[in-house]
Amino acid sequence: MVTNTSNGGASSLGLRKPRRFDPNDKRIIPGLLITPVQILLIVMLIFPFVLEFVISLTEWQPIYGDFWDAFNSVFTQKINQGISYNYLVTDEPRYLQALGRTVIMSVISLCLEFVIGLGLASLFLKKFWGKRVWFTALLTPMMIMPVVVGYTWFMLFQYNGPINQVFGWIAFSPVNFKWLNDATLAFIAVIVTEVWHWTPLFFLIMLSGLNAVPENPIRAATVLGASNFKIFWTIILPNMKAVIIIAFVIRGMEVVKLFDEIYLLTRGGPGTATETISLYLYKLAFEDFRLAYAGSAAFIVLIITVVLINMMLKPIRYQLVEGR
Amino acid sequence: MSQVEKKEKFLKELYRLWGMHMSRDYKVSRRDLMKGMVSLGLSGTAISMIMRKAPFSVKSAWAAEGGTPEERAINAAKALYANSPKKTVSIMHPSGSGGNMSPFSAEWKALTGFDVELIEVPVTQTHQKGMQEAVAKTGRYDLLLPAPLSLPDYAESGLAQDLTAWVDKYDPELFDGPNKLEYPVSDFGQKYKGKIYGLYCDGDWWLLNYRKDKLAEAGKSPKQKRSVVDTWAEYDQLAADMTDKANDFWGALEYRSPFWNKFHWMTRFQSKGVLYFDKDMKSMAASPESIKTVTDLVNIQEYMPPEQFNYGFTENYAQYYAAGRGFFEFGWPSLWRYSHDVAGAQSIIAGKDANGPTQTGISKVPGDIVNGELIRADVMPFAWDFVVNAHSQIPEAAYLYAQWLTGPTMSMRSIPNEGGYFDPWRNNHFLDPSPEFFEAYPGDFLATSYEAVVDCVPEIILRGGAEYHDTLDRNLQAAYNGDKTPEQAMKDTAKEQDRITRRLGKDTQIEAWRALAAMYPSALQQAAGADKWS
Amino acid sequence: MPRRPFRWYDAIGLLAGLVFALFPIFWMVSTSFKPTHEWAATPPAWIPSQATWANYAPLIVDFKDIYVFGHGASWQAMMHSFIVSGAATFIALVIGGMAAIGFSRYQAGGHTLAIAILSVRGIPTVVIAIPFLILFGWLGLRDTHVGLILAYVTFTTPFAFWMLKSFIDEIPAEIEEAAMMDGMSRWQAHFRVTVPLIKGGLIATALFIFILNWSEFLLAVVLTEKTVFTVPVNMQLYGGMAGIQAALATVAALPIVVMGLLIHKHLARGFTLGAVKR
Repeated sequence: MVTNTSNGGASSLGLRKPRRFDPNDKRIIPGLLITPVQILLIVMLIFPFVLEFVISLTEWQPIYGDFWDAFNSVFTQKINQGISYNYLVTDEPRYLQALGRTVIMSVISLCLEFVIGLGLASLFLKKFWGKRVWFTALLTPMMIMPVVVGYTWFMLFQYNGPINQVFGWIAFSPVNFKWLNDATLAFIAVIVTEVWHWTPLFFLIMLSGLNAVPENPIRAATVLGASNFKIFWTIILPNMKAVIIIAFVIRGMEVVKLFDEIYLLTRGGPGTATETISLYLYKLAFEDFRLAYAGSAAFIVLIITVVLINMMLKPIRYQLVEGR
Repeated sequence: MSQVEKKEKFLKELYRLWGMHMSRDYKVSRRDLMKGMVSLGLSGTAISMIMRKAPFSVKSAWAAEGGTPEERAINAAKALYANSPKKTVSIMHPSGSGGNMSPFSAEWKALTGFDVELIEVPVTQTHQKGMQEAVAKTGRYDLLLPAPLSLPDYAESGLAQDLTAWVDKYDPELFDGPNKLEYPVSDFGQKYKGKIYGLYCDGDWWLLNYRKDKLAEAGKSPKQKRSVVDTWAEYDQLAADMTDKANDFWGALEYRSPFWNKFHWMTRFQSKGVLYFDKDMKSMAASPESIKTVTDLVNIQEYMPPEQFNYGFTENYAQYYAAGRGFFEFGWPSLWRYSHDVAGAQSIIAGKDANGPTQTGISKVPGDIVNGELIRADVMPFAWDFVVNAHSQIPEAAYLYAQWLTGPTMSMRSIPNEGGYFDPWRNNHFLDPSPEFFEAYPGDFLATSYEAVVDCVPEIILRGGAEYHDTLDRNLQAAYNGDKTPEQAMKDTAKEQDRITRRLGKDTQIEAWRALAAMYPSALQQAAGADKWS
Repeated sequence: MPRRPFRWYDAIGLLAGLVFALFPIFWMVSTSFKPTHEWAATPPAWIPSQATWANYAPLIVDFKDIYVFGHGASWQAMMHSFIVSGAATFIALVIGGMAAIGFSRYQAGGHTLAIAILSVRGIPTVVIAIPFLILFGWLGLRDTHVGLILAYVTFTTPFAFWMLKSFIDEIPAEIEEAAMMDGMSRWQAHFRVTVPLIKGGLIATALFIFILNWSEFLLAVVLTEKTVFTVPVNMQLYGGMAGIQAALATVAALPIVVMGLLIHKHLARGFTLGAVKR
């Protein structure tokens, strides 16, 4: 059972000493406890973001010269302020395309992960031989580091790799899919990789959700002759709502960050077919070094993610913060 | 070393370089595959080979004479050592080129006291690691080894140190003397806006390789001694004639995969007497000559293998040319080194006699007749440059190391070295090769390469060059695949290139472009009217 | 939920899931033992014809294939990764743990701070890598252990905070009150009583964060050169040499998989920031 300390709980027990600064003072200790994290947030996050915002107001690229000249231009040449933001709209369809692609990729892979994860989880409600071992085995992909996942699937998706070979056996004729060189297939390849990597997490979360579904309503419904589907739809799913939302929110936050696997599989190619927002920003900032423009694009992404996260967290915010 | 071990080693190198380019990134590496293959192949053949005859007088050894660039570098570096704030020269270099440098590190230390630290980065990351340094200004590297395409970006961002004064002071003998590098290659790959920013350590202009046995079988002979065909029309015709689809033999092996295809456009298009841009930096990609070029490039696909759309150097060479299934292949110098290689094994064309590879002929790239004059535009994709980091604590010592390693004698020693991929570039490499050097580049190669150097034209070596290349690349790809008509593809290219120019600042770009255009071979300049631009 | 019998189609589903989950891992391990000519053979070799340890050699000795290649033996990369990940984990635990106590016991900072910390989790790494590159250049932190550790701490503190918070929430505050009655100060009550009680959770959190740090790639690529090079960065120096990469990947993955399996009961909690208990 979780007990949450209310502010009044321990007040009468607080030791009072006549010193002016008492680290054990009930009014001081919370502040002391969160000071390090606040310093960290300000120095390592807020300040860099301010810096990024300032950069995004300039036109700066390293090839235009020193940063400080560009920095001064923010205050001297008013005309160019925010020109990078203009480019986002006028010059670069790739940016919006990358945003859209990220959303599509996230939705498809999350849905697949959810369906597969839920299916596997419902299997594990049953009794069968070697359950613990299989359970552990199914969790393994989640623990492989993203870079390794990228390299491994890169090998598998080769033109002469095992996936084409297996398809060839099924089709009784050689199959020559150019997995990573064809726009559609590359997109599929990235989604397969992502699904492979993170379905175990859905599986894990769904299993804990299913285990928490009360048994009695289901028994009653079975007695009344309800179909399996109806039981699932009317009893199990509503009971798992919270868990499902959590899974989607948390994974949703993660999947938009997807970078390593795509970087190693396709580098966003062919063309821009698998270029997600992370990859696009990386290319802008660390290949073309259009830092001001990348800064403005990144800043918009930052705002979108922070707003989205807060929206997505709304339904589970209480649960998260209160720890129940 | 046993044959099995050699083969394992060869394969390892092959896969390493192969993997660098495979679909993940087409940026640099196919050529490196070739170079890696070559250097490996060399180890196998060098032992068994007997050199009978050389076209030029071959010196038995290069004795260091007084007053060479190497000696000047050593003496100056020795003097700098005592007061140097940093005793190590750190070099960022593309992975795979270590073999050209690491064997000489101990020698440099013995001579001057400076240590050498090689910092390897994946080939595809050389440009971006340099630019990161331009932003962070840490001085972690003293020397960088990018391709010439990076020079403008490095120079404009203040990363590349202006070397002009040191070149005057220490004279690396790059621009004059018997060991110089021929103009215009000497300038467009080392200078930007008139100042020197890089020192070559690698030369890379294209040559046309062909099957001389097949040519003889067909009862034909080369047009000239070092030019199998003179014009692109003849090239197209010969490719058509040699194609024998029934027997899976193809006339042309060109590169059509992403990143590699544009070099064909560059060399064909500019031999029509037109440059990438006009006087005011308006893209000429949509000009009639360009559209004609693209149409020709699309038409010749008829005589290329059906898988060509996805093929670059590696696949074309390994699966077609070396397997005896193709007639023409354009390529970098290393193709020659590789095509006489026995350890490379899968090649049915391997073998070497006094004239080099038994079945491979070498030729300058074809040209076009403009105003009654034959113009060749031999594009030089890549090559590597030593660039001194302006944020380094020991820029001068770093420069001296570069001068030492790229000096006439030292480069002669380092280029044929195993495990690296530098190719000949100085005049003495061509005219006065050491026996080891000639062993690596036997037969007619050095003479042909030397003849071709005067026709050499640059890539778009401007600020934002990679972006110009990228748009060209994507649109050509679409034209080759039939997704766009040549007209549409080239119109889009021109539009996108003009947009890049506008964004990067038209005036600066025009200035840099005119400086680059002034470094074209004079025949081409006159044909394009570029000699009257400034 | 009532148990249902295990049917044949369930077995097929399970089998499909297992094959899907394990095949890539099998391929990785199998490739790591393949001799060079089987790395990308056509048709692909499923099981090495002659298993060899040669691909594991670069772990111990410098990879020398004609010339010395990469940044030297890969155990150094493992060591760098270990130092950086370990230090970053420790710091994140301390900072995040303090804040977790503050929030769980006193609501310090309120929901705003809690959600702000949570938001860090959702920000794409590349967004912050841009200012980091500039900032680290100014501070001289690029290519240093301290710099990389700082960057990692920034990204993993949210996990430490939220995961530890969920463990601390489970410890009743009354225990601390009782300890204070016995004469302990507030700090002592928190750190001598509560912290030992969540030892299991602390270890789980530490391992979880360690896994995240160990796997990080983008920041390591942008912020380091050769003084520090972590496992993922080292791996890409062997670009294309599938066997060696697979060997490195296997070795790099092994400790993580073992750790992950050790804490698999807490994995759901870690990834959901404590929202799902098990």
